[in-house]
Amino acid sequence: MKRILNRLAQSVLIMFLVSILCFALTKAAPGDPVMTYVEPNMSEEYIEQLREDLGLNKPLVEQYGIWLKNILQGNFGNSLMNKRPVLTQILERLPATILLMGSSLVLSVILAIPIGLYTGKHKNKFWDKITSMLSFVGISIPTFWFGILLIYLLSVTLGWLPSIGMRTDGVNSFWDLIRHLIMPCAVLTFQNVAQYTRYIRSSTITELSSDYVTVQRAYGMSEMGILFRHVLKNAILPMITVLGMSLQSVVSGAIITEQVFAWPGTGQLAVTAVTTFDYPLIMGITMFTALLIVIGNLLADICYSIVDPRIRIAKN
Amino acid sequence: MKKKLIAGILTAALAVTATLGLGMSSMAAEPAQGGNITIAATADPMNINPLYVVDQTSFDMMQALYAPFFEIVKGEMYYENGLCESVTANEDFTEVTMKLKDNLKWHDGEPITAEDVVFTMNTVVDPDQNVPYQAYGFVDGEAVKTEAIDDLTVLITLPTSSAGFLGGLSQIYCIPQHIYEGVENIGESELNNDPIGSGPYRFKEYRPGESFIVERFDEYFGSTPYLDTITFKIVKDSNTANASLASGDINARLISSEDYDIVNATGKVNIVSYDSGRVNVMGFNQNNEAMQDVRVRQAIAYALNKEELVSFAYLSDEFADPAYSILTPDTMYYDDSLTQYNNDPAKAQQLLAEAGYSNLSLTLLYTSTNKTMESEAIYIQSKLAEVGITVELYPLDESTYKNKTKDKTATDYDLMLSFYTLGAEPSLYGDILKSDSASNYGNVNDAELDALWEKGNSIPNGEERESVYKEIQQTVNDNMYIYPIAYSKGFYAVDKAYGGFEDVILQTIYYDYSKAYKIQ
Repeated sequence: MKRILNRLAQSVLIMFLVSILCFALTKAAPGDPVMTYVEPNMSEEYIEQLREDLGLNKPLVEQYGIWLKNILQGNFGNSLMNKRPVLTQILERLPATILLMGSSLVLSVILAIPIGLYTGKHKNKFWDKITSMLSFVGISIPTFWFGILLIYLLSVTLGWLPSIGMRTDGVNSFWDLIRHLIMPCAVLTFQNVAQYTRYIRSSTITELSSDYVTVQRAYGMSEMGILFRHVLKNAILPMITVLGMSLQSVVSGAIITEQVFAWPGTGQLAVTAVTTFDYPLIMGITMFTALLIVIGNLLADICYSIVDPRIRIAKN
Repeated sequence: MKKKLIAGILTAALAVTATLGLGMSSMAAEPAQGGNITIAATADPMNINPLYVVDQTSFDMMQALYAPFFEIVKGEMYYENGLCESVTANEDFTEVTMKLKDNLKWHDGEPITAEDVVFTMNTVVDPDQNVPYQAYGFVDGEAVKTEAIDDLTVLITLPTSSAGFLGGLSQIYCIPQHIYEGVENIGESELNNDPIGSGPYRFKEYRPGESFIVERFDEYFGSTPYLDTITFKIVKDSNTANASLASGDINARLISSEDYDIVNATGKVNIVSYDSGRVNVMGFNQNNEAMQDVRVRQAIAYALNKEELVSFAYLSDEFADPAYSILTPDTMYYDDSLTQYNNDPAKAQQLLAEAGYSNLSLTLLYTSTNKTMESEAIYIQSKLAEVGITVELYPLDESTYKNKTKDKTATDYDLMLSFYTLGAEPSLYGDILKSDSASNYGNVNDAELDALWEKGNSIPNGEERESVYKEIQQTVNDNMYIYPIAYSKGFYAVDKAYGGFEDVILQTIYYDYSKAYKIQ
């Protein structure tokens, strides 16, 4: 318990440092939010007034101070571009992102565990080699290219699936949602499975060569029994870390995939924020992401000490 | 494409699909009543209130919701999609009388009256409301006065005579007094999220990141719009948007010249091309010594081959025409007989020698994300090398580029690529050359030229005004203050199942969506 409290205190410090770093980087980047929409026939006075209104004329430290004070009161501020509250904008994008990222995460784990176990068990056999090759393809294929490829194949050529968005306007059915979800989810899942399979495969190989497996074999336990009753438990341990790290993506979204499929999630919002130098929005999204990384890691640590007695004992 | 609020008249030759060798089937087809069209938008709208629209997406959507007072199309006053029945000025151009059409209705059923016009004009000139284009309500720094004569008649009194005022007035869209009266900060008001307009379509639904939907307004004053709904679908990725056009998930989309062949090859669309009203130019930064010498500027012009430059940077001769004047060909008093600096490397070298420059090294500023500018820059770099000028490329992101060009003391670039869209009223082009103008990116300082701009803006149309603008064009050309490169075209790709877009695109970025229809 004390450890957890300690970790929580650390997390607060991390969040604080992240906010300073992010604020400094956003401000240091070349680019000016006002100039992104200024046109030649706008008057100088208007531009100056705009800067004043947006608080961009104040010293950086003061700007940061104002932002921090607001955020501690739960006010994420308003977007510089459309003046809408940052929190509202993030929250209205969340369902789409959680749906996409969540479903692909769940699907990835469900697929990766049996594939990883199987290929680890049958190391260097035919199917292992095929899976390895596919994994490398999955890890290295550029998302935007794979996405466009799918769109051309499944939407343009075959006409089976809608190419963009999350729903057909005016249609409000679950099936319509699923049809829109298939392609972006497939792209993300392919990538995730490719990675996760590699982790599980390699830990399966390690576990299979450890002493307790030899002992089980000596006792005459069936290979299936060894694999599922003993190896599985240990082999999926690294997944806890991986999933802990992935938790943030459920909220921050997949920038490129969302862009390619015009999926209305937080990833797209982040792109817009960055391209328009909309710093309250950038800060809001970054802080949300940072918070979830911190929580994800914390949860992963806690889960570890629950499922792996070795860690618990070592600490005590 | 960024929005350019254009003031003025345009002879927008809607060179339609035929000139590009495409099918004309859509034009002959019968329009159906009803249906939906999905038009691609590249971003979420920022603010749909017509007085506060600053981005292209909002402007595109806003035009479905709000009707202008009038437009100026092909040099003529155009009232068909406007609230006004007539707009007339007195002889010396100090009073403008606007007559509204009868029975106009806001989308909530309230009548549109002269009071709404007065309210709108007062908002434009109210310093507290901070309207981005408040300049349209001012003449010589002084606000115009607007009063209602009766329910349908408005009188605007100008502080001094201004022939260019109507150009600005055509850019102002009326907002409802009964909605916005008493609102302290109209630009940031929540009311803008539920817009009450006057146009052919009314607001139905906005889903951030997804779509902005409008539905037909049955009490629209013009001819009944064909379509039931228009869905603006937000698609940021242009590759995806092209694919969606082919799959039918999107029915219409503005495309760039790079997309032209890809989109055309799908065989599913007609491509409507139109004059974009844009002049693409190279400027010379006169803060730097070498650029102050007219012989150096002329040498650079002689070193380049404009036809070659245009076909290299714009991919096809059909996508842009070489430009020789700072005005577009549609602008009033455009001069097509200016001396052309035809490619002549020997002459260029001679001029450089006379000016006393050898091994000149110059820096060329442009926007890094603009592919056309990049091609222009590469061409200019290699062509100037032939006459012994070394060009260093200086690409910057758009906002840094704008800050750099607005900096009146910047010396770290010599040449710069830019473009402007200023419409068909010649006085507006003074923006880019008057010595006190913020958009005088070349830092040109020519008192005689300034006087000519002043004179041109203050006299009524006629022979004298014509001679002033001809002289301006000649002076700029002779002194090579700005090197015009090309008048570029715009392209609207439309699914073959839809028609009417030749009439939808009034000119440049002005649309009358009521004319779009689904083919029976």
